[in-house]
Amino acid sequence: MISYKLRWLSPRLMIVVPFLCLCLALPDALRAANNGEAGKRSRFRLDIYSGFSLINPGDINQIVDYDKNVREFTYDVYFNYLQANNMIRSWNKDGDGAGKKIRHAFPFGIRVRYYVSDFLAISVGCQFMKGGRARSLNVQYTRNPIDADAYLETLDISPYRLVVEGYGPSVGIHLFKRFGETLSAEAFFVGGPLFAECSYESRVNYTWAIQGQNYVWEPFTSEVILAEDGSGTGLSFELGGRLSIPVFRRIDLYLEGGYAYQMVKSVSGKGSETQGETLKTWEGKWRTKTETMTTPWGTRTWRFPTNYETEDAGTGDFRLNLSGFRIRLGASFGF
Amino acid sequence: MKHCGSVRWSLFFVCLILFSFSYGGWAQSLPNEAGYMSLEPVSFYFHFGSYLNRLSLKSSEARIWYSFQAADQNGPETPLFVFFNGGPGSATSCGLMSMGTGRYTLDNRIESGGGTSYIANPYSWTRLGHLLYIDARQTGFSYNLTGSVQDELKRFREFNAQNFNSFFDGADFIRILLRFLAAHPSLQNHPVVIVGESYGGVRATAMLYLLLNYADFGNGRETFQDPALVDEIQAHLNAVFPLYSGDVVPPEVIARQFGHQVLIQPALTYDYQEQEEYDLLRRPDSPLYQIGQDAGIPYDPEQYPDPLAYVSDVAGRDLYIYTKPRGWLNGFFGNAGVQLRFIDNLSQVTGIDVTTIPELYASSRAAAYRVIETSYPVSAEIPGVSPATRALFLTPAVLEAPNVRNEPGDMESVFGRLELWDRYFIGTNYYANYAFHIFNVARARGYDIHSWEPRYGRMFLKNVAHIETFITNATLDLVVYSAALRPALARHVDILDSAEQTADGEEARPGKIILTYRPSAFSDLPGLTERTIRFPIYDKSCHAVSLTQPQELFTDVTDWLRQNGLGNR
Repeated sequence: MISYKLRWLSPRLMIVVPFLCLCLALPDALRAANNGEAGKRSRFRLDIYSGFSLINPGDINQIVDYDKNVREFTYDVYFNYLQANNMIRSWNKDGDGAGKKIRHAFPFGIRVRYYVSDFLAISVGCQFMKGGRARSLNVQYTRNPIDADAYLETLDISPYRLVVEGYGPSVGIHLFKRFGETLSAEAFFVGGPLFAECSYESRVNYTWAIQGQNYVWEPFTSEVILAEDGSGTGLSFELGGRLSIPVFRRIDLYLEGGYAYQMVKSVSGKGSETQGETLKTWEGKWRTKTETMTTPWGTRTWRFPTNYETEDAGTGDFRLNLSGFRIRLGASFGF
Repeated sequence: MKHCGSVRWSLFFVCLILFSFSYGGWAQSLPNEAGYMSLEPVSFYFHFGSYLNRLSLKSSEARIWYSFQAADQNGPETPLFVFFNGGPGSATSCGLMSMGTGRYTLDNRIESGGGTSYIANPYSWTRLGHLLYIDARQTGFSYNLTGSVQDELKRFREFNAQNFNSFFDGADFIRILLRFLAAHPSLQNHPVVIVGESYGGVRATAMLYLLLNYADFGNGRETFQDPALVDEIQAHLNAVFPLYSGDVVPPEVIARQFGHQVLIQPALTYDYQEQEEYDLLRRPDSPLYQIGQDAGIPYDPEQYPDPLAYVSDVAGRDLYIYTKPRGWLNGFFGNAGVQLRFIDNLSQVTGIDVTTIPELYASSRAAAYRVIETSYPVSAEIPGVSPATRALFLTPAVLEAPNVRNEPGDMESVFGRLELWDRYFIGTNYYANYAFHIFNVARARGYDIHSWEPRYGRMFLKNVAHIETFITNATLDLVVYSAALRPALARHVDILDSAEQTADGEEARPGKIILTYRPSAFSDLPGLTERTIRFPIYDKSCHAVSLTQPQELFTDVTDWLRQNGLGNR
């Protein structure tokens, strides 16, 4: 019985069911809009929107800094150390080895509004938002030893992908005022549960070659695929405003914007690492982990998010924060 | 009278039974053994503290050659000596096993470069205990297995850090040793004496450090992580020290079994040893001036900045024994390698009929490989290797001696013809050597696990806190220059207050190094203040002391073991 309830209440169903209902309602709404009953506004309206959101999921974005810092420390800083100690003559770097952080996302959704009075409406809807960065990175390091042939190390990272998603049902309250027959403005507040997911994937192909005058040897190549994902439930609230103008008798276009607070404080998921024939998998709660790398050329400490072995001491909270300003363009159909 | 007779017989049988109980249980002799032990592919990794940014490697399957010679007398405290040579990449079979330690030794006609047969050794260490000789991965008779073995690039990539690095090499030897002990329950809790020569000093250091601090090689504390090895060590310790079963066994307890090492001209903290050696050899009291005088080419440090290149290339002397011509010692290794490829010789040395070893037959070696290039050995220009170093390896010791192929009684005639990339025996596999030193991705990526790193000196000094140590001081050896050892150890100023060498003592060949530790040297050893290493002088010896002064070495080791409560004599 419990499992039945859980299944029924699962996040995807909570999105899919209202969406299907609204799709069924849409033809009627369009028909009503086109038939047009002059001078009479519909009590029900269906909003469909899409837009752009500025977000900064800082905890998951830390992984980009971490990967970049580790790479610089284990290559650039290491080679500087070798050069400073006369262990190599010189070194250089070609290519771009830095990933990009998630800074924006694309929300879209649908909403059914019911006009309670001339200035008040309530709504139910569902929204979905996805943001991600996928890149192909390639960086080649060349070091020239004192009395031996050059070492070429190539890191080909493709894909390097970071993705966040948020979705969930919402209810809202809308206060509006009409300015004549052509323009209306409103303020709204919507809220509801948030189901959010995040994922990280990198496939790193490493090649170490020794380049002589007449030959290139590749003594070692490797491929490492690291994937971690997570999901969790939080809350979503949005406060914003909207301007709309009618374009047909029952169809309005609108522009709305606002600030959405969307936060998930507990995220868990699976991870896997594939190295050659070896696959390692795990499951765990996402935390930010402090890691100290101690090498012959120095010591560095970083924080980074992961769901791998996060039961240890020294881990901090991880929050999947999809909050941010957003702007949307939509169409509203009266029926 | 008849009654008296039966009483006498009864008394005789009672005495016999009592004798059997008091002695026979231990005195039962063990048979000699030789053959292969399999090592499965092992996943391990190196890290700097970051699991997700580690270097993960997986070794290849290996068949490791071993030869066990049972002690002349077996008792509950009879030690098991574990022998290995160095290189890295050099075989034990044509080294310590053939030179003055086993029941049979190569007929070393020293001045004529060696005989052609094996003879009984009057200084056999079987008088002291059981002997276990192990050929390291891809050396001697040991060989690796892999898929697509005919692919030269595949074979090239096999010679890299996943199969060759000093930690994993030490782990290989621990696996073989513990599996041998597990397969011989009557020996499982016997004391073990590690005997390493040359690079074998690093191997002994790695082995003992891995054993004494085993938990740290599975819990992320050490750079090298080999969880399967930790499990295997724990299983052994559970069996030998049941009071600690399942718990991490402290090093002082582990040292009750693995508490002794005999190091013959060892590399221990080789970078420091080499720096100190070069400094000593350039001084006015250096033996190089005498060498120059004898050779008629005076030594001048300004003119010859590399003293070893001067000795070898200019004066034409053997770096392993500077009173002999270049190549002298490797001539013995090479000769031993040639002789061991004859079935009768190998059977005599090992004490078993080697035709009963299935893994020697060509038919069982379809996936085996020993070399990259099928024309091995080649004088390939290997990057990063000095001509002097290369010359060390381009000696008869590494050659697949063509004169023994297809001769009656040699391995090919008995076991069958091998694929071009396989070999029955390789004295020094310098593909393996280069894999430790050059074609080593762990080293390329900055992991300080190369055998010359000072970390092995630190590990050695920590081991010595628990391990009784005997080191030879062969004064004619310039490859591991004994005079440089004390100052090299003293350079670990974060661990030692001083390292003093003394010739005091009543021994026939006295000599000790006294290490005074700093109070804060190791946080887990707060009471550690001073340790003494036995360091006897062998003034006629080359690098291989058991070749040139076998009697003296045997006597000194015997006395040293007795002082430490070990040994049969």
